[in-house]
Amino acid sequence: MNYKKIETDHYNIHLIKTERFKTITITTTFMNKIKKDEITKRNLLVDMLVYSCKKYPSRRDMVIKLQDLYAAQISSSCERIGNYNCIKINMTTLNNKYTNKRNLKEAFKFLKEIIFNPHIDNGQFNEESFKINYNKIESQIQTIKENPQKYSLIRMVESMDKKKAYSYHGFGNLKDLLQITPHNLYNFYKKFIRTSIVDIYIIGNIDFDESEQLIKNTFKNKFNKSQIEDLTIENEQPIKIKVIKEKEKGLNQSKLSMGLKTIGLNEFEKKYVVTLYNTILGGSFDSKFFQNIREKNSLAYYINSRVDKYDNLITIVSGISADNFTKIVELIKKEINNMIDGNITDEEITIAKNFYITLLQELYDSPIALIDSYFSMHILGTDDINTRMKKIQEVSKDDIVNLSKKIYLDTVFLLEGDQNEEN
Amino acid sequence: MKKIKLKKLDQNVFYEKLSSGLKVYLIPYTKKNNYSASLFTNYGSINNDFIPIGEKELTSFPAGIAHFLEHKMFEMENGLDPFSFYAKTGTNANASTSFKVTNYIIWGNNNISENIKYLLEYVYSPYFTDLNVEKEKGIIIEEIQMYNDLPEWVLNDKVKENLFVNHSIRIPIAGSVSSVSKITKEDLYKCYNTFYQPSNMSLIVAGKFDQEEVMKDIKAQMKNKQFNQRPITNKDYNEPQKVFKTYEKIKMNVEMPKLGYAFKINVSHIKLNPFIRDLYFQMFNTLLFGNASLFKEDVRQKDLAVSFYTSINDVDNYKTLEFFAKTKKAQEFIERIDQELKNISILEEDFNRIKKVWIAAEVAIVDNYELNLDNISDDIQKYGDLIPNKIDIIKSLNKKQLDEMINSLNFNNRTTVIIDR
Repeated sequence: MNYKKIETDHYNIHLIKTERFKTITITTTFMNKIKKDEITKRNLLVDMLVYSCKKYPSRRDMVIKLQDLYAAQISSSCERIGNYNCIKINMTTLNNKYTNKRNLKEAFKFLKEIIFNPHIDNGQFNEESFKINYNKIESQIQTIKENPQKYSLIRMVESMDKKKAYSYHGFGNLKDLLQITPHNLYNFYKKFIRTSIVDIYIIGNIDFDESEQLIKNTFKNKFNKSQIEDLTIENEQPIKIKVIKEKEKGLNQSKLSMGLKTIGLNEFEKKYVVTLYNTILGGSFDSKFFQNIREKNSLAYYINSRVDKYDNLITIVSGISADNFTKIVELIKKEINNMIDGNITDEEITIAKNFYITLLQELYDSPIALIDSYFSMHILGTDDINTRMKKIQEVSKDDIVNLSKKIYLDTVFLLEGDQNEEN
Repeated sequence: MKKIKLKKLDQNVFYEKLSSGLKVYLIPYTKKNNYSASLFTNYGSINNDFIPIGEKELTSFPAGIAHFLEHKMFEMENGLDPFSFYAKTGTNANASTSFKVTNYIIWGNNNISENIKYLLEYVYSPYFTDLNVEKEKGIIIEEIQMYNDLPEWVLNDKVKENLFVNHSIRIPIAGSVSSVSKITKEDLYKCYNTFYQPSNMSLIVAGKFDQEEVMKDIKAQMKNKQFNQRPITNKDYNEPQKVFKTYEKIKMNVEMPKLGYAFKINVSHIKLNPFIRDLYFQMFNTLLFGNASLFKEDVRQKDLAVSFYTSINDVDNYKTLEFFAKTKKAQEFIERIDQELKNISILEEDFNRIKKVWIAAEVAIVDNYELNLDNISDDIQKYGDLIPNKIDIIKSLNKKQLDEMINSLNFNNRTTVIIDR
């Protein structure tokens, strides 16, 4: 695998050459400092961009064009990463070897249309497309409770610290949505296309020079090339643990969410130790949570924890019977304390390291995952995959115990069901 | 070991049927780092009434038992559980139960020989006790409760319950709180002994490995064990054409109503090869209701649904065509579907475009060893074997045959399910 980074005045190009795939994937990332009241707008904007464009004005026209490009796929996401918002537009198409000689060139032409030539009529977004995507976003916001575990997690994180960006609802809100018009969304687009920090990644069996030229011909826009600052969110020590219970009508199973803050981690801890800590505690099917709460006590079907390095948070989720709430929370606390007390076996550490290596190996077989890996190297200063494989082995039990003292339980949230088991 | 070329896709599959009856498919990739293995039995939630091996009478088992059995296969007599075994080398393990199949998978990047041997070891070592069966009930009841809180899951189950009168596909895969509470270790052994015979199972491995070595290890592992190879008799449900219930409204606390609208279509008269028949059926679904269809464009523009998707299932002599939509205009959406089905006209141009799309998609699927494994697994489950010349078959599809098939379909048997407050 060969990697080459090219810095232009307005964006960076990342070329990754590998013979592993018969496809070529192009990802464009747009980063901006997050603003709470812009989240809904950004969600709607990215949906509009990949829905249709001036040249392919209906969704059907877009789909037929993608099909003509040998079933090219386009996907997008709009996510918060720490204090930033990141929009990603991915496009995957077959390598020219399996299509015709012009396919990649045609794919870039298409990408150019959707990013730079949106469906604008008379100085505003096309009303029909706007309405369709508006309704979609509205329904996403309205139906958030229909995934009760996700809703519980959102409510929990919101309760942790209202001032931090992680408390913002990633799916937006109705109040902000109501303010959006086809006209002001277009103004927002014009600002977005000027002020975003842009990176373009391409992976596949590519020719460096050809790809560079195609990208430069596609992206002629003068993006604002500023530095990413204060990406990660730093936390303050909780004064006391918050316990919140909320009743939910019609819910069968209660949804537990817990939030822990990681505070004052050094670089090595952030990159490696916290990953192992989380895997041992609740991040795998061999974790302390899985073994003790599910297997030994039959109290839950799922109980997982995950770490978010950009937010400095560890979150725990589980679907439980409300009667077992106190018991499960005690068992969870017991396992957290076991980490502090050093009740961690060498085997648990080896297993966690092996899982981490498996995760890294898996990156090699997925174009999108490899791009994500180069993305986090670029914006977060993560090490490359090979370095990560070596460095993880250096983590000792003492490192994990020391880290566990920098982790603070902050919030326990229960979305409480009111239905009997047999309805 | 037989070498089978996936034609026009630069990929080989190695196949052998072992003396135990187990079918083994090996799909080696040179340019990948990882591997994935799947051991599955043709046994799912629909195989709920059958003659247990060694008995003479048809027996009905508590709903959800195939899924319960899947959970219990992770129990070993020596106390070491498979998850822990795999965890040692950073290998992942999981299992799933569908209507027709129970599947045990592992994926990782090292220790492939030992890991596959152990997959065959643990799946062929049932160990059920009264105690470990009781213990599992708490976990599975929580799993069922989790599904009960997901409106789309409930809707899916209800559509099948109302489409079918006798067939066991009516019953949710995981069963209910009361049915799983009744399961005993004796039940589990009967189901295990009947359906976990290697002759009813397949093993597929895809990714980075040497096929000669892996095949040698698989044979060595299977040599030590004695297996039955007896035919399995499932109940014939004698499913009628009509549906169980044509309409039902369910009350749940949802903001956006959910619609399920589904057809039960008899296909026993279609004389095509089943794989080709299924391709035409899929073509019909894609052209009429897919992303590039005029129907979908109309739904968007008239706001008949915020989103919808279709799904096709095969149940005995029937195919189902199921629509699931988030919509406040259920009636209009249904009328639009009915209108579409009354005047079906397919353009040659669209038909040919989809053929091109499918061929390109096949290249991308085979390039991803995990997707290819799933794809081949699907073919073995449905057609009993893999299909090595898919691209040629897709190229040979013709619109006349499609039109003929569509004209022969009857869309009169249907059900509507609505979830709303």
